[in-house]
Amino acid sequence: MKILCCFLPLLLCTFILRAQQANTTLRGKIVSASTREPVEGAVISLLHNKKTALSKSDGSFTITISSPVDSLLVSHVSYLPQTIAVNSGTPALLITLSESITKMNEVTVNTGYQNIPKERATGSFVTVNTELLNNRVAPDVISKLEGITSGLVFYKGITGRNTELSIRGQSTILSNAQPLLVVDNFPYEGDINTINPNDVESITILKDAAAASIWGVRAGNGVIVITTKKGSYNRPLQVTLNANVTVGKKPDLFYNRDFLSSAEFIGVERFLFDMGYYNADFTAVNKRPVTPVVDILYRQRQGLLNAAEANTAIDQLKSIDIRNDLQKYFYRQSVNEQYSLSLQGGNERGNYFLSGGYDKDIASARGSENDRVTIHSVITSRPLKRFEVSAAVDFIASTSMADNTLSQITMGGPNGKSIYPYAGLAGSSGNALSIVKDYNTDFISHATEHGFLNWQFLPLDELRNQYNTTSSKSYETRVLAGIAYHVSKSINAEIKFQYENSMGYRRKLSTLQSYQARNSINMFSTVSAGEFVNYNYPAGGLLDQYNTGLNSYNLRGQLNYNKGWGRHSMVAIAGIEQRQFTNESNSKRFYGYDDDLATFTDVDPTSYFTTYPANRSFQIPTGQDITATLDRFRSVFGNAAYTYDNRYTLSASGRVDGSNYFGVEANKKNVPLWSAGFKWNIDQERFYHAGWLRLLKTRITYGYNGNLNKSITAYTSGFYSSDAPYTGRSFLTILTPPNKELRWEKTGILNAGLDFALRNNIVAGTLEYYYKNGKDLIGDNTIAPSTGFIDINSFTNTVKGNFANMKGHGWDVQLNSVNINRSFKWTTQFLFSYATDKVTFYGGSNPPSQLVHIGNGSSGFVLPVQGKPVYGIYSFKWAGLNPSTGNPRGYVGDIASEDYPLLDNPALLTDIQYNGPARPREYGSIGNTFSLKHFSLFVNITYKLDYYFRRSSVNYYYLFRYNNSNGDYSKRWQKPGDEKTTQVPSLQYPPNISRDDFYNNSSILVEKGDHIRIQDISLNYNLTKNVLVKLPVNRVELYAYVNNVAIIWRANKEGIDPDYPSGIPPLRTYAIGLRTSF
Amino acid sequence: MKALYKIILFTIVFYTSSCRKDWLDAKPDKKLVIPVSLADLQALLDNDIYVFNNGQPSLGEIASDDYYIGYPDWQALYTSTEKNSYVWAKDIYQGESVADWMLPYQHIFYANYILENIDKIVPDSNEVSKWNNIKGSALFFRGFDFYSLADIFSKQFDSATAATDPGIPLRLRSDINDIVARSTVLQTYHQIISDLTASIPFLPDVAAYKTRPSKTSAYAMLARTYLGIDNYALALNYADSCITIQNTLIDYNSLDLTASFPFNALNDEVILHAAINYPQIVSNYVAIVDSVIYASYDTNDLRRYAFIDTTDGYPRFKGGYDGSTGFAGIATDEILLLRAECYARLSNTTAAMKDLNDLLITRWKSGSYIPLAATSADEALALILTERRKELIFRGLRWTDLRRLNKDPKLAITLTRNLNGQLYTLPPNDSRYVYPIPDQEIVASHITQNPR
Repeated sequence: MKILCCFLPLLLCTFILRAQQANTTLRGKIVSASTREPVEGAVISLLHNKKTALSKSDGSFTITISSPVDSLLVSHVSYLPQTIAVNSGTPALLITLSESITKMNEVTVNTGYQNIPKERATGSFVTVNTELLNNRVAPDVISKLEGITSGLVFYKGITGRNTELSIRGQSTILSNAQPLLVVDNFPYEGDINTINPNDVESITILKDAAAASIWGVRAGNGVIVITTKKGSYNRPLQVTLNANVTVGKKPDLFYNRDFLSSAEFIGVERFLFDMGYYNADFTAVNKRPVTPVVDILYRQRQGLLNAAEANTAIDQLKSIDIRNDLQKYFYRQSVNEQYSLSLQGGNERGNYFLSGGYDKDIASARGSENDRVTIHSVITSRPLKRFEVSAAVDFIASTSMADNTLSQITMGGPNGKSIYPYAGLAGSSGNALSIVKDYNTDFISHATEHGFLNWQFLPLDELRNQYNTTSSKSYETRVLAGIAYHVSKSINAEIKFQYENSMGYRRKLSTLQSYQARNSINMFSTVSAGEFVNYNYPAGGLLDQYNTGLNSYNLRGQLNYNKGWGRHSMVAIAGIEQRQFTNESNSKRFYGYDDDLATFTDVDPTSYFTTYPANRSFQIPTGQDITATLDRFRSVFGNAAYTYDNRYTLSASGRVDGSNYFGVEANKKNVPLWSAGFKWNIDQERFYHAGWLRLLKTRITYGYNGNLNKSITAYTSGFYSSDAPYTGRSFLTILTPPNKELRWEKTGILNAGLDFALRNNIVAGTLEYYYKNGKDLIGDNTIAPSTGFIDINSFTNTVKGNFANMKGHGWDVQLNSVNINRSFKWTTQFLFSYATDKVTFYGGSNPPSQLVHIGNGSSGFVLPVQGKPVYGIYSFKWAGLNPSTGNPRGYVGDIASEDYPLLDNPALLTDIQYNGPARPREYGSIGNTFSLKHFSLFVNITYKLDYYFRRSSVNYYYLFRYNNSNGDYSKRWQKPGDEKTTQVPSLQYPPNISRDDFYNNSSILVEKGDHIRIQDISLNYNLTKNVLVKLPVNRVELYAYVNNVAIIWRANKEGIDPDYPSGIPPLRTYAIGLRTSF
Repeated sequence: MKALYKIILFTIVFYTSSCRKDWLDAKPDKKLVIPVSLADLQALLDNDIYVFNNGQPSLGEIASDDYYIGYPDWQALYTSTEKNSYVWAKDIYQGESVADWMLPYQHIFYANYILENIDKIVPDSNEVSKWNNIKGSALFFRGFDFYSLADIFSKQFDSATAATDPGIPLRLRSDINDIVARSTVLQTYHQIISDLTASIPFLPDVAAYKTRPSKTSAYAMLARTYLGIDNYALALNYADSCITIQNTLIDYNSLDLTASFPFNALNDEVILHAAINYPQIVSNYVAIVDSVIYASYDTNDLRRYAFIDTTDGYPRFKGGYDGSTGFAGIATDEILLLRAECYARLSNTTAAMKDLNDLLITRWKSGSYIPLAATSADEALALILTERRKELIFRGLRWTDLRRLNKDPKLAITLTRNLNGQLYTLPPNDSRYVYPIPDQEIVASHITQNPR
């Protein structure tokens, strides 16, 4: 039947043509230069006698030629036009068309469902190709996107959170705010960082509704589509090898502002000792630890040491700086090696791509190592003419090992203090020294003599002997199978299936020798008059196992329609899919564990034991848990784009998603989402003659993306927990109150774009404006406490529901320029994004003091305020220091005040200051590429502007109680007049927590986050075949790369990296590598 | 083209076959449920540490006179609520959320939800006792928590003014959209008594776990309630019913008095376990037992050692019947003392003194106890109240007793505190014996605030 379809028009044509025998008929066939596939829908016109014809599905055409000599123009939307001189005697032609390179970026964009020619795409897409990805050396894919992707920003260094990605700012309040990650057409559920970046062909970012709405309810935050490498037909074997090594400096512990020199710290301790601050510690029942200096002072007070002896001992401690030992023994240079080898090739009937990768990462923290093996394989075959089958198998095995000692270098005891700065970790011969940990030194030596296990903590011993480590293994398997059937030239049906499995095994082992195990064993021992009697806690190691298993399957059936006729062309898809994702985990703890024999001992988890020496009653926790979650989706989707005369494109898409939303009535489990778009290629208009502006296109789209929040339900829901402490029974906690009005989140997005290019692409660019309107967003609503419903996460009387609305808008600008184009070439890519969001309606209310503390999104909380961005920096108003006392002052009304409890807990939102957004509103990059002969140099400068952060400063209460230091202590107000040069309050004793809290959250410590940094520099030396004639290789590329180069400008005067206001920023790394193919 | 149709047909078949109604009905998390079954409702009631057996109000304990603390410790308290309560300030919360209000209402929300759903279940014959236990327990806890709230947030019951004094909002439905105004004190006590009374026929004599209500605990709570409204005859009646079922007393001679926690949770004397909404101020690192109380324990009185630790030179409360410092449940000793008081108030001196001596003989060193004697009911009452003070320290009962006994001019006392040289006083029947309603409640439901 199909054959008939194809031949019928052909027969008719020939019939008609034969009727006009007077003229000569010219025949020919058009094929693609790259694929050798016939090109359908090409317009063949004779310039002289104005006749036109279209190529058929097999690429063939016929046209009647009436003048003896003429020019044949062949044009097609996706190919470069070609003009051929013809005459009446010209024999059958075979015309090879090359793909058009006039597009700004790629020929097509991949949405995960289809490849759309960029020329006809109405939506907002950004494509990052292999070359751009290769500029950066990194172990993962995602970090390669930073600074080269328009509209994408990375939020780093937020306390309590991992690095977060954002496409065009915030689109939701309480729901997941991360973009959807798609790998090879399906959402990726495993750890995206394990994917080998060498296997990635290209990445497409879907930003607006027209681009992303095909992903329905998961598209609300944009979509990142990663496409891995595949083979191509008719291509000889190509082997590519890539190897590189990255070396990083040791972290600079001296950068950390939250530190006080030993001398100054000892000064504080002496002062506190004299004030009697530690008196209770010496007599406390629980043998509280005291630092060596306080211990010396106490001995002096008791007459065990004279003043001179005490001073000598203390002076010795003054010269110790723990950072030196940490840097020497706990850190090292990081080394990351990466190797990847790939093979690809293909003939008429099939093609393949096969790669293997190995990564080894020796992290800067000693004892911390990762490695990864990746295998990526794809085979595509055309066993029958109209069938194409493909299969892909990916396997990733990663292991990681980490030592836990570093995090334990703290002072414990009932308050849990930070370590004192003069703690020496190693003696002169490099031998391990003990530090004061949970109890005082006398008690520890006493206990050791009375039958207890040694109670000392020697960090270096633990590190060297790996007493306390966490090791993880994970195995990621992905299997894809696809079958495509070419029903006709324009219709293609396909079924795709993907199965993904990810298994993770983590084990944290503290051996019997570890301090953690010894401490627990000692603590839980039965004791009589200070003598050890027996163990209640098995005397052995402690093994914590945490295993996860993640499975997903996706099944998609899809029909693709692609047809061009005359001036019309139409691309459409329709399909259905179903996906299921399960996540199971279990944790188990083994007591008395011996790793050599794999033996363990049971404990009595129900009895209460009195701990020694604290005299508290505790149970020994079982450490067991099991979780199992399941997500199911079923969706119907479709879209269509119609283009007329290559000038106008109309697009529309729709999708209905269903999900196993819990406790929702069936009719609300499905949500329809849609989008529509229009594109006008102005430069294709007949009236358009601006040759200097070679390319000019404009487009506009509108539509809805959705978001999921499964944490709320229409009915009262609860979750089971095991093992209630008094009964041992399973018990139920109410999680959500009923909410019959529950709906999905929807964000309406308007996007308007302009693409242009000057002659010769001297400047080419894209300008986009967007407006987002989030409706029915999940938000909190405060309810009366007497309702009795308490949100178990926030411990407040709030309920979640579709209570919030927000708006956002912004700009994305991308400009590419060719500044010099001779043998020396200089090109620039300039990216600028402006993204702002505002909560327009929010039913909940947050205490002003809470906004000040965590309104910036730290600690994982979101505290929206109507009229403000989702994450903002709020602070207490600052009225300067009191000139006579150095007390910090705030405002009560308009009056400067020192009423700290009131200042620290203001009643109204107007009592506090909103400084500005916590996340950059303006960001982007300037990438410059310089190339000369075989060399090219890429320098990427990134910037983030228009946002704020809070820097840390001295908090006397925390300094005294928890040893939490800050360098600002040295700048404190000490005498009248100091207020002219410092804003750091005077030391007050006894400390006043409200005073300290007020100061630490006042506007004086809020800094502008604006900064510009040289993110990375890469230098490439590239030799191609024509130079390497004598060598059996096609290409050799040597590269050197420096990452995290330097900050070149920052608004704050304190030298703080605003991406990392606390802690230590990532280190500069240097890499060299080789990439070759043959 | 036929092939195309085949494909379309195939996909439609595939899709509709997967469209089985239940496919999208699968639970997203195995631990999630919509609690409607008997097992679910019982599991809600068994939520002991987070819900029903936890969160009893501590504001009264903070403001009462069992202890004092040092100025630096007072300064270091985390919440304004605790600082202000300690000195009986006019403004207590300063915007802080008030767990003492939130948690009892949370229990009431759970109880209402359970009551609404238990009535929808028609139990099989073998499940009737389960059904009864759930129904009775939910009724009991609702009454129990209304009682706890009334004790802190409304005036002490006074028959003259109870019909007009504002009580607490009586939430009898779980619907969070309901706005409930304050009842009167009379209505509040009617509800407490009606819930507790209604629970009795459904509850077992003794519960399978001491975290679950039983007839014993319902009788005990009714005895407490009637004692609070000065109906000594009924209080006696219920205390008697309670003691008839459970009269076990621990002989303190059998305890390890040197242990830091001599008592176990759920011990033989406990009738119903409940824990206070743990205040920082009353923890044994901070609070120092009132020296008069400490001195009142005879050296042969084992409570001196069982209750109090003096290792650091100060008398510190070791802990009570929860194996820790926050017992706020019901135990036999309290009910025995309650019965003794009722006997005394009803002029049955002999019976009163017998109960008192029965208790005290278990508290003293073996062989050292000389039974107390009283010549009049008043004398008996005085002895009983003194011993009640010594027996029930840090049990969350002192505040209730202060409110109750202050009504009687002969027993009324003024509390004083000395903090950093400043003196604070709380005279009897002061308006500060009623805590303000939390600001969040006033904002959300516009109910009337207590004068302070």
